[in-house]
Amino acid sequence: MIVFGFIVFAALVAPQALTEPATTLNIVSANLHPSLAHPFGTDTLGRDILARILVATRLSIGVSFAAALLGALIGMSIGSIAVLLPGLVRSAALRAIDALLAFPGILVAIYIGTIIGPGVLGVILGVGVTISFSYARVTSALSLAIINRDFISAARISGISQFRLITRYVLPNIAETLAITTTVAVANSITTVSTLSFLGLGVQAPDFDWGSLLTEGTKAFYQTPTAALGPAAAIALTSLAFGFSGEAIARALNPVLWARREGPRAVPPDGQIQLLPTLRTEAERAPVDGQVLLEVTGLSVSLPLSHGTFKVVHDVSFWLKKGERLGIVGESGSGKTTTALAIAQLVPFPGTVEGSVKFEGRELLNNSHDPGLNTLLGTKLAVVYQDPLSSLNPALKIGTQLTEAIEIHRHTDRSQAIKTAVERLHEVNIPAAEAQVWRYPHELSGGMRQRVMIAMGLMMDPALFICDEPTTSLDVTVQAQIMDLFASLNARHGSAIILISHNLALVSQNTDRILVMYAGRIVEDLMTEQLLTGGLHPYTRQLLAAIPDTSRPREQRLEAIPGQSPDPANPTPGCPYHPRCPLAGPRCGLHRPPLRFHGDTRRVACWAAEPEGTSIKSRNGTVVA
Amino acid sequence: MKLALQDVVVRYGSGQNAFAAADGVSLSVTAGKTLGLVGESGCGKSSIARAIVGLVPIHSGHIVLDGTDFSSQRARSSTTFRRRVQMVFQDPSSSLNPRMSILETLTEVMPRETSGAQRRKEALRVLELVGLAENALDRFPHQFSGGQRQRIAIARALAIRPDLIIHDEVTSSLDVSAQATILNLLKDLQRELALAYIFVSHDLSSVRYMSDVVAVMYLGRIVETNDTDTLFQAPKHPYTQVLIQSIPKFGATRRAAPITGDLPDPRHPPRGCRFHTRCPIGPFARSDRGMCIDVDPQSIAQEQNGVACHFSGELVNESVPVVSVRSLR
Repeated sequence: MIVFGFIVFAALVAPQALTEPATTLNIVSANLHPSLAHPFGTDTLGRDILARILVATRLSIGVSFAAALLGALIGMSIGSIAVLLPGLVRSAALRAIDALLAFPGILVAIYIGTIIGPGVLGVILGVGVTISFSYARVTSALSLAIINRDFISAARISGISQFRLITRYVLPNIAETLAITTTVAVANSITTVSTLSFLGLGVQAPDFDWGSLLTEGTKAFYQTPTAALGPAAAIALTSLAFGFSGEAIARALNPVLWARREGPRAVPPDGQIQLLPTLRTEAERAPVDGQVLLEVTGLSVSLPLSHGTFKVVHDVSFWLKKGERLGIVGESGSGKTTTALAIAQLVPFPGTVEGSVKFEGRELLNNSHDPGLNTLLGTKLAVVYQDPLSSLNPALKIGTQLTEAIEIHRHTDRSQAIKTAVERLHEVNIPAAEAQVWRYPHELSGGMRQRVMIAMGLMMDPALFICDEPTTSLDVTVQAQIMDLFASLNARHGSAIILISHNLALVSQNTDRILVMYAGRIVEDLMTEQLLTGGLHPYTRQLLAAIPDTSRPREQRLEAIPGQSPDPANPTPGCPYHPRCPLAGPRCGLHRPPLRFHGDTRRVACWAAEPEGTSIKSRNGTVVA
Repeated sequence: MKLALQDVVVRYGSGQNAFAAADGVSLSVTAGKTLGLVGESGCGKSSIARAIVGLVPIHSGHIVLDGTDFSSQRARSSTTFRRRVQMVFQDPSSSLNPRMSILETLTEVMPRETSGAQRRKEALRVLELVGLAENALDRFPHQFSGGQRQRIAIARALAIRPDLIIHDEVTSSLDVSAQATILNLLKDLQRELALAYIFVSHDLSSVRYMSDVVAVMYLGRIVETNDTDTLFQAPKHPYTQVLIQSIPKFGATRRAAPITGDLPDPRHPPRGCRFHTRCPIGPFARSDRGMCIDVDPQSIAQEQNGVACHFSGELVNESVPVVSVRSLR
């Protein structure tokens, strides 16, 4: 940036201030070595070299800019028009652009420069045309990537003209990348223009730019090396400065980033809450009986989002018995997926996890000194993701991916491992399993890939399957098959299952217990059959009323939940759900209701569900709500 | 207002790679009514939607709007057609130009002769219709939630004052709560403005909630068309039956998946009846059903009230035992 500012300053001021020392002939002081009066020495005609370099800035940069601008205009027009051409013509045009790129740019520039004749105009045209090739290529590639986006289709349907389509829809959306291309182009342009001048094709005496100074300097290289090194350094520094400034300029060009973001709201402290001792809180929960597989206590996760790092899971505690099927439901941003990632130790860096996760009695979190942990996770815990295509390695055959884990953790030999893989593929209903192990993921359908993921989990003897929206990308008939598969795994192997989904009907049919999450917290924890008679938390009830289920009368209007999903950057004071809650009272906006036991296992975090007489006292003892 | 499709074929690719994404689709919709178009991914429902609005050409067949033929791509790209037929897309974060304010997005599509003041007034009118406030006008798409963006996309379609709006999976990228808001909004708008809808979705529950008539697609063909209640209560085509049984129903005992196997590659659909490879009452379940492999039932749909099956009305349940996997405790 400093270099950048200095260059602009030099280009603006130097020609006025330093023309005299830069052009006045003074034979007496010819070929002087660098000194205080002449930091870079003088040339054969006694002119100050530093002054000449500074004065040349304007012409060098001006010519380079003009050339880059010309190149940008030609290239952008060619590139974006090519993309909008119909079918075959478009392919031909794109190939032609590719072919142009194969020409060595400097030769094209020299060629055009020679035709036009030496001088500034020849240089601008020559370098401009050279630069336009890469511009056309970049523009067409970027445009191709967005031309099939829905907003372009939508604009076409509403009858927007082709010209407007380019200027208002295509170009603004690729402007950032083009800006980076532009700064690189200017940097290139500076070196190319200097090269042409150095070769004598560019700026002609008595005008001078860095290239022609370099020519003169090279002749006197042994007397005053600074005469050549000075302009060379100027060229290099300027090129670098432009190259580096690209990102900054691109950011400044994006109006989406200018839009003001609301500052975070101030969250008042929870204050001192005094609860009637009618309901147990988390701390007083009864010890779970011996069959506990997973115990999560006080789990909190912070993740870096687009505008900062925020806590997306708050103080989540729950446990899972062996063979139990647990559903976690909630809308996007509820923290359901992040909770699962944290259990499986998969929170991406630099996210942070606090709390405790005990799996088969061993602490998983921040416990790097337990050497057997990797094997425990690798053999006892299986994760099935939403999109099986992106979670399988496209470059490895199915068989290799299936056998990797047991070869590492169990030291099984290869042929035995493959045999096991085939058995497991059979078990998940993959036809012709012997042939499938030699195929790549892209050769299988979506349902098959998901089955492969499940088979991969089965290669070990998993005590727990964590399934994150495992059927969301699949069709409804295939979804039913996958759910059958989980049901039989649960029945045959006694694997516990955590099923994370936004689909309440699906979860209600395939789980024993359900956690309802909102804004990173558990708001209700209930047995599935309790869900059928209605939740205690208003959010649970509203979620149920909002789904168009086929079991209810068609004419019955859906009950939409007013308001918006919470933003982790702006946590709501009090109960996170109160802005959307039909039952919200004054205390809901002030204090967050704790998750309390209603019965043996059911937990609810809602003031309205608390028994009559629950009160909140402020620090001085007065009842506030 | 009546839009009708007759034997429409949409083909992609050329030569060896050519395949028909939609193969002989006939359907119609009138003012104030909703036609639901439902099917699994790759069945061609989105191709039909995009063909109607002229984003892809049709290979053969006819598209007729109020007696005028709009079968050619040029005709459907005309202002006359586009002023009457609009579309709302699946993902509102990609269907709105991120670099345009809401005011620009809405006024951009208005007829050229509209004056500046008139444009703003009109933008406010459509914003109010979709339940957004005036302060939305100067903001950009990224400043809204998914549900609000979808409302803006609907407002843009309304700004053209069309007679028919095609909704292509408009709620599948939204959360449950936003989905309910959008579905209710669409119903209200239809009642208020007597709009015709074609509601394209893979989600049978929302199709049932929205539609007067439902057409079920499988591998490029419509296999059954009927009014919504009849179709959901007494489905005739085995595929429709399978589809309806596969929907997870809240509170109902879960049944085993009614069929096995995945959707065949839509580029190489099976011959004869396209569903025969997976059909629970077809040739692989019953040895006497060879005709399903040889004879395409497409032509008999007309005389069978829109059911393209040789054994229309036969119940899947009677042939395949549907067992309870694990009832809720």
